[in-house]
Amino acid sequence: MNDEILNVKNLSKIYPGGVHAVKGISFKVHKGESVAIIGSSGSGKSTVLRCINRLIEPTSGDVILKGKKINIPSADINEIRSRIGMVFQSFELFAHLRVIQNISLGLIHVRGMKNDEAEKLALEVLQKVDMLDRKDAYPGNLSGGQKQRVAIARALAMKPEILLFDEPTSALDPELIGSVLENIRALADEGMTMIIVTHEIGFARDVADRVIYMDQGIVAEEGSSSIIDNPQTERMQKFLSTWD
Amino acid sequence: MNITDDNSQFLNFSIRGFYILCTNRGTVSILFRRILGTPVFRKNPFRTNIIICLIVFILINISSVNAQTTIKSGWEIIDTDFDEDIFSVISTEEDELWGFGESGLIINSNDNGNSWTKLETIVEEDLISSDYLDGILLVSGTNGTVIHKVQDEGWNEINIPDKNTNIEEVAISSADSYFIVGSNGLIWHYDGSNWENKTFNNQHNYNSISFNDENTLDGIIVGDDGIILSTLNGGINWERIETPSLVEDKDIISLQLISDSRAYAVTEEGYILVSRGMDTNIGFEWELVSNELFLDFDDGLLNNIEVVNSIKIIISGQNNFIATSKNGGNAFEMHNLSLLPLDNGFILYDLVMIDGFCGVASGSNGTILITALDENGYCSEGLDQYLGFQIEDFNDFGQFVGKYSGWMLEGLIATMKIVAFGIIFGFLIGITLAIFKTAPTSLKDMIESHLEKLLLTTWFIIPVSIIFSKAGNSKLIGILIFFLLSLTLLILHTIINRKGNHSGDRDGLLGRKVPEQFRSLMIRLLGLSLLIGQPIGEYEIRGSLFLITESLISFSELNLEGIENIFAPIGNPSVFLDLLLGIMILIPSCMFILNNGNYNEIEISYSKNNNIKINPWKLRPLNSIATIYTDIFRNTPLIVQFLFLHFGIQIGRLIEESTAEFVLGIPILADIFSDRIYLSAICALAFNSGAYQCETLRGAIAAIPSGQMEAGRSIGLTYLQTMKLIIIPQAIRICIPPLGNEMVNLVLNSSLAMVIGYTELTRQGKLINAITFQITWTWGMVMISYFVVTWTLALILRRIEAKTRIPGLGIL
Repeated sequence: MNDEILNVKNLSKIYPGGVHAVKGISFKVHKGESVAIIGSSGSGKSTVLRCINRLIEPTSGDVILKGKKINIPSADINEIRSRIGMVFQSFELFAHLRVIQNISLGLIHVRGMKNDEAEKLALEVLQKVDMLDRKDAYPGNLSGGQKQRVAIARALAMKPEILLFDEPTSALDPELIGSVLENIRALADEGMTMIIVTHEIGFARDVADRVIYMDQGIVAEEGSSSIIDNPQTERMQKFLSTWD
Repeated sequence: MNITDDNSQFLNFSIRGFYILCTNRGTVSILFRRILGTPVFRKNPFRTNIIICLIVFILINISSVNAQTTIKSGWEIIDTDFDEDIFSVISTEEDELWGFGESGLIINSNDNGNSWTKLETIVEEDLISSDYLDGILLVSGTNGTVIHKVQDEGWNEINIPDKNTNIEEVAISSADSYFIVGSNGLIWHYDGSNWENKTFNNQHNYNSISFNDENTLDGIIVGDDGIILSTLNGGINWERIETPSLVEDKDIISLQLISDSRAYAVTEEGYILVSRGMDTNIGFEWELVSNELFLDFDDGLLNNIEVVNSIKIIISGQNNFIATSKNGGNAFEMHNLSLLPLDNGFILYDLVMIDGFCGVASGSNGTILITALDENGYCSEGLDQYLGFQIEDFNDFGQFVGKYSGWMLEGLIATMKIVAFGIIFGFLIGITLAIFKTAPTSLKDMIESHLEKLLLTTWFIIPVSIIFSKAGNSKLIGILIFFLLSLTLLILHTIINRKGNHSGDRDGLLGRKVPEQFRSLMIRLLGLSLLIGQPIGEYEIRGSLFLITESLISFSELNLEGIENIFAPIGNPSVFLDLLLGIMILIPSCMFILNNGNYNEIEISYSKNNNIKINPWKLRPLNSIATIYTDIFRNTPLIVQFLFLHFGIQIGRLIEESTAEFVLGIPILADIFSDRIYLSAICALAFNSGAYQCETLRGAIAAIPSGQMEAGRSIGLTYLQTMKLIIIPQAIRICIPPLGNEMVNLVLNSSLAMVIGYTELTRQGKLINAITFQITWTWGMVMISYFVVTWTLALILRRIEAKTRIPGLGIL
């Protein structure tokens, strides 16, 4: 089990209002694996993702990153987060910083790199997502797809052990989705470990090694990407039928 | 006075400097890059530069035009038919004026000094000093000559037995009690029939004596070498009073008691001393009105002080010197007697005011000066023009502006000085509080991530500092040791964590943590020691329980009833602080004791079906502190804050005294930190503005989407880093308009600093008004000056706002 990166054990989250968003789910992610989490809105997908890097504190259960439990008070959460990349649905680029600064910010202030060193690395990552020509633009001047690619670059620059995608294409126009998905696909091919929460069923089928279908806070069905074509449970069948 | 010239030069330089600063990309962009994260100023196009330069050049040249003023003296010379020197003049309650002089000259006037009659001389000696009380006139002269006149009787001689005495001044204590002082410690007392020598110390020369007209037992004597004697029993015993160190070796030449509550004295050089009978009787405590001499009075010495009331003071001296202060001696306006056709050798001997507006001055060769009278020969009471002092005749507005724009500028600079520091400190306070208010740090976070630090602080750092401060008997030592220890540990902690290459934990202390199984126990023990305190050897550190009970007992001793208790904090401030501290410790200490390792909410049922769930672990201590601060400063008037901070807790004095040792010898800092009023004004403005700026900033922070915080945290930035690098730079851009509003408010509010005596623009306007009586001109100029400042500020802010705009953030 040496290649196990992430182990989520019996994770559950009850929000202060009493909403039981996640009701004890468990899964493992191995090195180089890309896992897609699908499910209808409100099924707790995003909550699971946020619990993994503790943007939301899980109510109970364990999150184990590389054999080390991370949801305990004594864990250094900032250090852990820097090893878990995250890409948000609404990009969340830092509006007051240029593209290149967006990417080098974490390198300078978290990794403690020198400015020119960080910039060099940032340019490399930008090259990867094909955004090198817009390195001096402000996020406000980019299109949605470009923003998301910069966001991916920002997460990649930290050289994360695992990358979390929170519905990366939901806020994009259909014609912009392609380029972003292309980037994610390229990452998967390179062997990046990823968890992708997505509504793009087709994409999940193509890219993901494993698919987890969540419904009402529990894992309703789990398996290789082939389960999208052959859903076993009724709930998943119903869910998939709405997408055809 | 060359104020105007100096200041236009200053204006010249400051405008140029400001301009260079604004157009120079380097300086300002560095400044703003620190706050806003990106360079904001770009170089102006060349043509704009030239136009701005031209405008500034023209403005500077217009502003330095200086007009000449015609000055008319407010004093006029009275024709008299005698030419003896008149050494002393005095006014009586019956509107009579008396003058005494060379070779026994006695003159009087019944029409406010317009005409004088020479009376028959009784003695041949020079008469040099006089006093009046309840119908008694007492005059003394050379060779021990003393004459007096009781009610309507004639003049009688009551000479001192010793012909060689050198009398300086006489004073009437009561109807049958006269005093005389002179050189070599001479004090003689007349009890209605006989003179008695009461000299008890012949080392010092006495120059002046005065008794309180209302409470005739209080008297004061002043003399050479800063000597002041005071009596409470009509002169039976005299007590030597300590003088302010600056005048210890100066000769105090003249003295006047004006009421139960105030006495003024002046030294030859022009230091003015005041005694306010507040805590003690009048005359027992003296302080200098100002540490500086009021004028460059270098040729000649003063010889007389005449106090009209507590704000209007006139001093006179050699070389025809008369100067008036209308603000209790803080600033004097000199009267130019050289405009009058006086002889070259004219000496001014005495000056007396009949009331606030009419006065008489006497001098050599029978010269008598009176203040301007109206056509009926009366002092035009109520018309301040006839104050009898230098009246300036302004032919046109240009002259007025030419003369007083310097004053305005001085006030403007003073205003800018407090405003600049007020803005800086206010912003720092505001941003700190705003971060406090939005900080998610709850009690739980604090104890979880800082348990080790808290333990070390409560069980080691605080006890050690307290032991040291008690052993050294000084609070300062304790505070110093506390900071020293904390700082050392913090630095060590940072170094060790940095070496840990991020694989170790950032929390904990020095890379060590309390093991998981002991954490809960340690938290409980911590709570216990906070609650009941710790005994350390012979010393004891009081816990919150003791603090609260002790302070409540102290409050009950204040004897306040019912609603009056809201004033208890003022009745005993130190105890109130104890109480506050006790309550602040009580809540967390109770929580710590109840800690069982998980931080669940507590369910309280107050009726059958209604439960409330509270989670005290979610209490945010930083937020509470910031809330208390802003509540206090936003719910009290600024003017009261000024008064309370300056006079109430004397914050300026506290800062001055605590920093005196550190800034000694550093030229600029020493100047800044020795001006108490200035320090107080800055503090009041900054504290107040900080509270408002905090709310503005907090609103802006709240307006940043939460995703930005999530994004920052997700790449591994700490909360504070995310705040500093991502949230605050964006928030500041959002709140530049309301923040600008707040800064403009601060400039306008700075006018309230005049209530504590800070000479800023408004106060300067008041002074100009009091001197010139050009009400419309003065206040109009003040208004325009304020407008120029705030408008410029608004323009700069508008420019900053435009320059810092980020594409895609906010609607245009």
